[in-house]
Amino acid sequence: MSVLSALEIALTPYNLLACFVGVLVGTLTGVLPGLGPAAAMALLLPLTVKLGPTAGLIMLAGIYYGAMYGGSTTSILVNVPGEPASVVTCLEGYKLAQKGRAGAALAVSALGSFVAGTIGIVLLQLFAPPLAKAALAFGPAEFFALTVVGVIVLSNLSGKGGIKAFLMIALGLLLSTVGLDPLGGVNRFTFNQPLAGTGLSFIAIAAGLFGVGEILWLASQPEEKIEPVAKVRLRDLYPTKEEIKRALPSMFRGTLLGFLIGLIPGPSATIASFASYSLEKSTSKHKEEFGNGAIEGVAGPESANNAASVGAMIPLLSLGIPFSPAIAVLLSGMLLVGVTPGPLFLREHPDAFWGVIGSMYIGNIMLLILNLPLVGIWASITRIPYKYLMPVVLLFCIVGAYADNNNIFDVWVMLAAGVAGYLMRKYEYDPAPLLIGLVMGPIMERSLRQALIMGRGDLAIFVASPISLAMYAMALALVVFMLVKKPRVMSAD
Amino acid sequence: MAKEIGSILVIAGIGLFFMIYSLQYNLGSLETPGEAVFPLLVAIAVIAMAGWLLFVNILAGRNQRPSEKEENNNNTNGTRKVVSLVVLNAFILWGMKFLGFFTSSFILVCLFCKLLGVKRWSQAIGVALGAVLGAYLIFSFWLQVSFPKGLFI
Repeated sequence: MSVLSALEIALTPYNLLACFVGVLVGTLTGVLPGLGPAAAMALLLPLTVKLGPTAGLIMLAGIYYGAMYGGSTTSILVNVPGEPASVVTCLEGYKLAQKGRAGAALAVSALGSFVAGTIGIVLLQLFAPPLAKAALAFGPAEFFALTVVGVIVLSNLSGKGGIKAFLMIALGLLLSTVGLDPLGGVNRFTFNQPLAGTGLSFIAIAAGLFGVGEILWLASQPEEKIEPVAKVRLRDLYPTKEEIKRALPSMFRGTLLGFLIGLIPGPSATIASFASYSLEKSTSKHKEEFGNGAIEGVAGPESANNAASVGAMIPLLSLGIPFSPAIAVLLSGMLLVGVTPGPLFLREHPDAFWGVIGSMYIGNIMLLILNLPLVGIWASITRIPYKYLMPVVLLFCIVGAYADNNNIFDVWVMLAAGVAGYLMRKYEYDPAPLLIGLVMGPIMERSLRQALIMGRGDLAIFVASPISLAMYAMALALVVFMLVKKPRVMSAD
Repeated sequence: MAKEIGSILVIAGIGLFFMIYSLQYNLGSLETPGEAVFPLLVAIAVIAMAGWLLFVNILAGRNQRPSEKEENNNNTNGTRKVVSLVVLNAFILWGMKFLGFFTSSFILVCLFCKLLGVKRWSQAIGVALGAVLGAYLIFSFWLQVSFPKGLFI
């Protein structure tokens, strides 16, 4: 079956409507902090049964990739990530908004998402089976090596690098151990509080560190010191030619990187966005702009998280294995409508498979049409004086933190993270590496312990495969490079 | 510099807490590593890095520049404001079980507006009412998220 046949299935009015509902709910889910795509998909699961296999799956897939589009909006406007994969967009997007370039950042984000989504679907169609097999070559030892490289690469995320960044990553890794132990099921560091058993919510910590931290920081500044957001003229709402020229290569790099990371189990969209930011920072000709509003820092990560969301569908569609919570909900949706994903999925349900693929092309166009005209409306939010805007942002941080697990404990975590975020800013610690540690922690711990069990305690298992060896060689090369390039990396500053 | 050292000591303290606490759990063996292994290793790394940072800072022994001192003194008002906002937030979070989620949120937004410099009560109430109504309609009414209920809503 070709692309045209896939589009033919997706373009029936019934499937088009399902796709529209999916991408609309997905966009709203992404914009609202706390409510991730997994929760939104779970809420609409009963509707999937009524819609039937093809339309039902088209709608669920729409919510999934639609959320990646919307997630950047609040990151750019008010420094509160709509969903975990958009945390990194806060770093440059919010700075751009403060300079009066919110419209450009939002438009580049939507364009990047479109480019990545569309290219990702082409890659999905072409390489799904071989890539799924390659992803399976990664065992626990290889994953551990991968996380080690990841931690080293991402430690220099904000450019401050140094031991402080490693310290923040390690702190994030420590915080990730709070709650249920991933292998043995033992509650750790919870002080016998049942609500802490689920662990520290990523959304609560991210909203606290970035959103509440920013509110407290602004409140601590004398009013005359707060720089007013530059006035936005109509022509400033969209990116300039120069910005597009700079953003395009970042979009393509982010797409490729994100798609490959999407094949890895775990929160691949979040990791992809962090990795892409790091890549953009190291390859950019405008390094000095990073941290002050670099358009590449929005284009790359936003493309990467969308591409990763498409890449993450490969193990599901080809092997029937869900690699993330949202994909697991998609899997349960498939099972609910009587579709079993895996090697036989294409043969047994060609309409559903190609319908979903075709709808993803259409859905990406719908998302672009939905998002671009909204840029002006969203951008106008940045002109609201902070004394009115910040209390509302705080309310949405609270609601978002609560709605993540329907748990008031998470709101307390958010408040504590907010105070930590304020103090970190005051004492010049970068909060982004802490979030990397929080994301990587469970994967790192699980793979470390699983590898030791598989190797019966023999440490040689960590360097037994060529993949692991290559990863460690890369990690070593990176450390040497960092030391040679920036000798002060191991110093305090 | 004293504040820099203070912040490092706090982080080292967190590491130390995790290190001691993790010893309560099973360490296991190399063949079957227990739940204490990973947090213990990371906590040791945190303490080691904090120790290194502390050493570098003490060695540097820089004196605080007068301009920085002046700036810090001038910002006492800001710190007071932050403390009031955090205390207010904590107090209202605590009161949520009595007042309910949305009533508490309304009071919080209202008082936050005032603390951030909104002059007129009517404006603060208007902002709070709009924000809480929006949050209620989206999360409670439409998305059916169940929030803690108290005396009111």
